[in-house]
Amino acid sequence: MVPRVQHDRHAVGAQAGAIRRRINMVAGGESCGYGLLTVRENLWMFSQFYGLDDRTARRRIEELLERFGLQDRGDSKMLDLSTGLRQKVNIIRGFLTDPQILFLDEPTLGLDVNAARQIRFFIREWIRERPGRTILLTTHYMLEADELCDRVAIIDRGRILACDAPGNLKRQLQRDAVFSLEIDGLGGWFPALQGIPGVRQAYYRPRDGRAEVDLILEEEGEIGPVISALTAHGAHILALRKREPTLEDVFVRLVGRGLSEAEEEEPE
Amino acid sequence: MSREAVILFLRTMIARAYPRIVGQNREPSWVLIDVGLPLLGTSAYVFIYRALQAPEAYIGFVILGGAMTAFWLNVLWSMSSQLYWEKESGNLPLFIIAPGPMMGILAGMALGGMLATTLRASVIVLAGSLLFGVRYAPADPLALIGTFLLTLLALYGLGMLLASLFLMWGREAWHLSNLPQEPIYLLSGFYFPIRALVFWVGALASLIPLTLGLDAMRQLLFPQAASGLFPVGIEIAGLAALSGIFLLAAHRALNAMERLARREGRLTERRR
Repeated sequence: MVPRVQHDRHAVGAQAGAIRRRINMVAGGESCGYGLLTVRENLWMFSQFYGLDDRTARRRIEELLERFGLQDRGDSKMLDLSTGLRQKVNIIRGFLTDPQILFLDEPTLGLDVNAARQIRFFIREWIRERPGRTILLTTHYMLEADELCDRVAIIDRGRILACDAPGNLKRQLQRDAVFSLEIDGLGGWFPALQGIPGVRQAYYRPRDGRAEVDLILEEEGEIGPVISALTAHGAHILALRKREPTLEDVFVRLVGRGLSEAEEEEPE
Repeated sequence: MSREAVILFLRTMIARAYPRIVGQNREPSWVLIDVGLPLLGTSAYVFIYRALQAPEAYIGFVILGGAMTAFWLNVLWSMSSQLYWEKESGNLPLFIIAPGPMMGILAGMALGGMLATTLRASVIVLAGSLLFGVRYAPADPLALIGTFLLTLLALYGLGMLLASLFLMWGREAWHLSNLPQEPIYLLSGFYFPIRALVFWVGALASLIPLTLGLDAMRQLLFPQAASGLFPVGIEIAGLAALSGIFLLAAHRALNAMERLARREGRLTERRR
């Protein structure tokens, strides 16, 4: 997500203090603070690093704990919390200072479906209540980017390949036909797909001995030769459906490979 | 420094001191680890001195040395290598991105460490003195308290400096902390009067705040028995100078760390 409003101008080098007051950061999969301190104590400690006065800090802590349903865990030590709860506390820490710009790096990484949904809901609400704020979200979950972002930049190997509203990005594939196939067994048929005229992009994920294939075709009619090629190569098609393009399809189209492959290639 | 900046510094310092003061005492194991074990080590030296029929004041020297060991271990393991652990646990980026100054974070770690360790050191002195019947005859209690505080200031100033340096250089802070632990026991005269060393070795060892601090406190606590490396006044002046130098150097090292981070996008050495 890229900035939606023009913020005050501050030089990063010369006015680092002024910038730090306006920003905060939450990295997914990480906890914050100290295990021996309680949730409230940890949040209070971080609020003090931003100069929040005691009363404001404690009020915001209670408000945020309530919004995340954690009031009854406020006096639990951090080390007694589950990974999901620690991650929620980390998210609260990021929003506690009411930043102008918030950097969220994979905020729902490793969370169960309900916790991830709760966090996404909170982020949406927070932005809705504060239209002047910016969240810069880094994520591999394209559904999350689609749901939360006004603008999405697709970056591969440090280069921005596209930057636009999710709807506009998906519209780039509007003229293409996107299909999902489920095929029994993995493999040998996949190279055959890539040689078929009209197949713009083909990508498959192995799952439970089956293959989930995503196809981006120049037009719908190209699906016939694809099915013929697959069956000729011994593939047993279990399911086929045409669907609307997703951001993940845009990613595959732009980057030339799937998200999981791109993640594997990323340097540490 | 504006009023707002001072308030932010103080809030940062107090907040970072909090986990040390409150959090540490939530683990009752400190009574055994931080008091029981050092007391055992100290007792061994007491029995050696008793076997050698050393002057009774030496027992007091050893108890005091044993108590100050707690501060040295705290500086080494909970100050010097602390920023490294903070990086490993994910807290360091959160400290750096916050407007609260890193000097405030370090000062908070130092303040919390001092207060928490003072409790431990006091228990060691009290228990050791009761166990071995040590009698103190402080000539100038005010100077004694001043020397103690100045020793802590210089010692934790050194800890703040090492914290920055360990982070910049430290691939394995554990090894860096391990390295000076035992040599400092010797060079600072934890368990014997520093004057027993060759004068120049003692004078060089005076660059370590504990050497001067311990020697001055022994002279003030046992005026009849202790003959110091230098007169107390000089040792106090030395401690004041070391405090200033270490705190300034810590500030500079933090600035260097920040410049490095901005220039190269890293907080530690390249291999990390």
